[in-house]
Amino acid sequence: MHTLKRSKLAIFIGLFPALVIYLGIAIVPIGISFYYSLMDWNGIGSKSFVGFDNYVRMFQDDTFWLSVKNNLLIMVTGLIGQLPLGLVMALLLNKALKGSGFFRTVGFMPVVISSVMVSLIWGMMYNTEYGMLNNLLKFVGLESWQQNWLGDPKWSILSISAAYIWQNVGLYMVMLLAALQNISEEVNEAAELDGATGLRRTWFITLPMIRTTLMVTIVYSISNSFRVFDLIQVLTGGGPAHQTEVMTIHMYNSAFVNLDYGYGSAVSIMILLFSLVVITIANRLGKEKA
Amino acid sequence: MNHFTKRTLLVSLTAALALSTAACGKSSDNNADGGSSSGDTVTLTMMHPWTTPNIDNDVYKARIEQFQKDHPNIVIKTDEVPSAQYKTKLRTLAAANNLADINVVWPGADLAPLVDGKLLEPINELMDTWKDILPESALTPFNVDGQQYAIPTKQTFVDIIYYNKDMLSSVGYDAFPKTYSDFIDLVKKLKASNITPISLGNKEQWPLQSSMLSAIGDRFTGSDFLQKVLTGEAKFTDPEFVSAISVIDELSKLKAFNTDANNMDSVQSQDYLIQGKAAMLFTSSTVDARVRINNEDGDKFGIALFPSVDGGKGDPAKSAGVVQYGIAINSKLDERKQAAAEEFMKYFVSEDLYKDLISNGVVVPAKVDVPEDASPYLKEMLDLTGKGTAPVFDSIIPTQVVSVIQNGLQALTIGRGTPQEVAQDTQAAMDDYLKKK
Amino acid sequence: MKQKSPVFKLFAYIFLGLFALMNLVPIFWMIINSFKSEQEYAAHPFAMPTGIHLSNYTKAWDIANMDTYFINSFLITFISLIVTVFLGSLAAFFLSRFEFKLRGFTYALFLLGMLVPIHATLIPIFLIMQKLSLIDTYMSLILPYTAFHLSLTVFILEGFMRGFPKDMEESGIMDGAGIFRIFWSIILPLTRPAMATVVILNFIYNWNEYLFALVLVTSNNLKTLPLGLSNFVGLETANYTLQMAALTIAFIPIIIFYLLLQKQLVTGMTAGAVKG
Repeated sequence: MHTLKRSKLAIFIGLFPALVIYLGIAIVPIGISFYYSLMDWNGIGSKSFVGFDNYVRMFQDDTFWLSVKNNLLIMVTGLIGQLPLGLVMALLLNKALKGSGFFRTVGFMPVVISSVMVSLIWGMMYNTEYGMLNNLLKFVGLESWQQNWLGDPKWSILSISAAYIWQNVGLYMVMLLAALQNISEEVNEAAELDGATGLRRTWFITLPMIRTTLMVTIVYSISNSFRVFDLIQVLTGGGPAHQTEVMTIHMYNSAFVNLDYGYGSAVSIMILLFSLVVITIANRLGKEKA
Repeated sequence: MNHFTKRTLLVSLTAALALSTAACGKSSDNNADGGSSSGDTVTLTMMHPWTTPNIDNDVYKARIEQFQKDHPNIVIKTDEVPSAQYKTKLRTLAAANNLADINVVWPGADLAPLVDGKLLEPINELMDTWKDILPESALTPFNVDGQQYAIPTKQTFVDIIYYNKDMLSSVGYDAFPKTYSDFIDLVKKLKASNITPISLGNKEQWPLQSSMLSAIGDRFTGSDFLQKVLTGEAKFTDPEFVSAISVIDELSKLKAFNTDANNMDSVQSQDYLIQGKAAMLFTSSTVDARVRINNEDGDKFGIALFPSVDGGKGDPAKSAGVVQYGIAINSKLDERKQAAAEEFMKYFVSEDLYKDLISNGVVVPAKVDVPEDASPYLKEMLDLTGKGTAPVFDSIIPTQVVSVIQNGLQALTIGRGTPQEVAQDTQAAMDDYLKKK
Repeated sequence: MKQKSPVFKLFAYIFLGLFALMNLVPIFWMIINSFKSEQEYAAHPFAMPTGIHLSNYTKAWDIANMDTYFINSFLITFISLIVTVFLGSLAAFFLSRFEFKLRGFTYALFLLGMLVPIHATLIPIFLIMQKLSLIDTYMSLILPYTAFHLSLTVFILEGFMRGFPKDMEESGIMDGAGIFRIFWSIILPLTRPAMATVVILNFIYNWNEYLFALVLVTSNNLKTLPLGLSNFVGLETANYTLQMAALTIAFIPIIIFYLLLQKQLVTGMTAGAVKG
């Protein structure tokens, strides 16, 4: 390509401004966090260097591992719940159905609503005595299925997952819808000429066409599930007795409530590493399939 | 169409750049203005958590306004921070060594790290101002090693039991029980007649610890126990304190709390009582406004303290109280600002403020006369709480230890662990803390 | 497009209808309660209001300082959004359509920003802003919003642009168009649906951002809406009905913005291909 020489300069010009802001404001704090994670520091006053003590303490802390387990649960249920639901919504709304504009808007509403409202709503939903869910179960004669959804450790994290899925389906719906829009008419027409219809066409033609965006949504969903905070903080506060604590809440409580800022920073570095590992694995798997 | 999109993008980008430069310039002017004192006027920054539309918050804000009217040469630039996140902001600013000139701080365990970091200025020389109106007990929580760091504006009693009179009399209790065994009997009878005995909103975890354990512990151990734990003379594993934790266990096993106790917040637990879904609520004097004063059906509810326990070392007439909202000065002010800040403190925390508060139904730590027209509910509250003050657990015990016991108590409510284990874990955290010191 | 069978349509509508119901009931509940008095809400949270307390809205407007905070939120949201999307789409273009030595590394670097737990960055960001003397300015919010959302923007747009066939630019190169020209006239128009997605996401995230706004701004005249919205709940006291009124007010601009942009979401390749 004769533009190669000039393209080097262009690449530099194109990437430089974004990189400067990004490195300076988003990446440097990660470095600072790592530095704090090697310190014994209450967040105020003097720090003392303790090497990897905070990490050792973290690995011996049952509460930390419980939060990891909860995080993985949120991640897996999130992937299983949000993406297929979002995809089905996107496929349906991509068609010229009547009222699709309405459904597109309504489907997106939970994403924009504030987490305060989300917690009030789902608190009402899950309430054992007058909650909508238990009432519904009673109404259809399944009283034996009634549960203390948020209070019983058996159910609490799954209940939170359901609220989390509800809150985010719209996000993936919109992202996948955008991708579906870019499949040209010609592809669809060609498929129809080949006699590919319905599910077969979706599976063999549509999905491969939006493969890159599917990969994007998978990675995005993973990264979001490792950063979930507000929803759980306002629904259960991580309780009862740490049962619904995820890593971000464990990090926040350590750093800002228990004044163990060094330890909290170590947890935050682990959050970063965990999500990086999971995403790398997901990417590998995605490439192998191709 | 495409051209249109692109043109909007370009135009808006230019606009954005122009705006942000303008915004920058404007706000840095602001900053210079707020950061230093120019000419004759001194500008002080003040951070406070008084954002909710409450009576006492309105009193505070009006007082700040009034101060500026009376002192044209001092400008108070307030930073109003939502109270739920106030401590997060305070800790971030403290970490960056960048506190406001005047701050609102909490006593005891919350104050200690700020003092350790030398962020607050001792105000010993000003103390004459309050010697006639503030009792020793209101000042000690803000006193560290003989240095006074802040003056409280408000007193909160955290262990008030609000109860539904009709529900209690329906099971034969026309007055609140005086002994623990009667109290348990009451709980059982309520349970038997299908009434939830206690409304609890423990999502934020402090209600079980602050509003319940402070008083229950005091009945068993007496009022000097927590201080002794701090110095290592007593332990949470002492049998008296384990008995106190066992009360929570016993109540949980009797299913005395509403099933959603751990995912309701304290405001929801108030509503639960108001809606007639439970018979009792353990919470603070502050919520009297929502439960009784501003409630049309307010006289449905009575107030009481936790009853006496068999062989307990504590005085059952005592209420667990804590002073709140200490006003403190930043230690890094220059002379002029320091003088202005002291002026503000003397003016802000004064007899007039306490009088304003109490005539609006807010309990204060100062010895001021209760106005004639004060709400009868307030008089009842002052009567109930005026017979001695017990310490509040989390105002004395360090936060990292508090969070261990809070999680332990919460575990008991879902049938996990034993009182003995909770006591051991809590003491272990305490030992850790003492070792570090 | 071929017509679907009525059975399929029926199922589709039942599915969509249930979904819509689940999303609408909460909004409806919020709006209903925003008209009640606090006592009425405390006693009957599910009932219809007995009277309409319109004063909730004026009170909520004042308590949340919406006069000032609305304008600040608009300014900060839009400036950050425009800068982010512009820089992000440019970066995504080079990362997706070119091969160069540090491409993989740069891409991974951008990805990293999506994985940072925001609470961990509070104190470090505060210190950086202090160093730059930007504490308590619009810039102290615009910079972090731009930086952190660049990750997401680059990530989504890169994924999208990479999905284009390899020969997309060739006609441009044949015509002798420069690289930026190709970006501007060929790639950008094709990314419209993805662009709409990132614009919407940036808008929501900026509009709702709370933590940075909490700590980095101290002057009341520079604060943003989410701070005002939490002025209703104290530790033991709350004004839920006023808060719901305030949340309803704050909800309107986002929905309008989404309605405006969702048309762009569904005018993708077909429109672009005709033009290109």
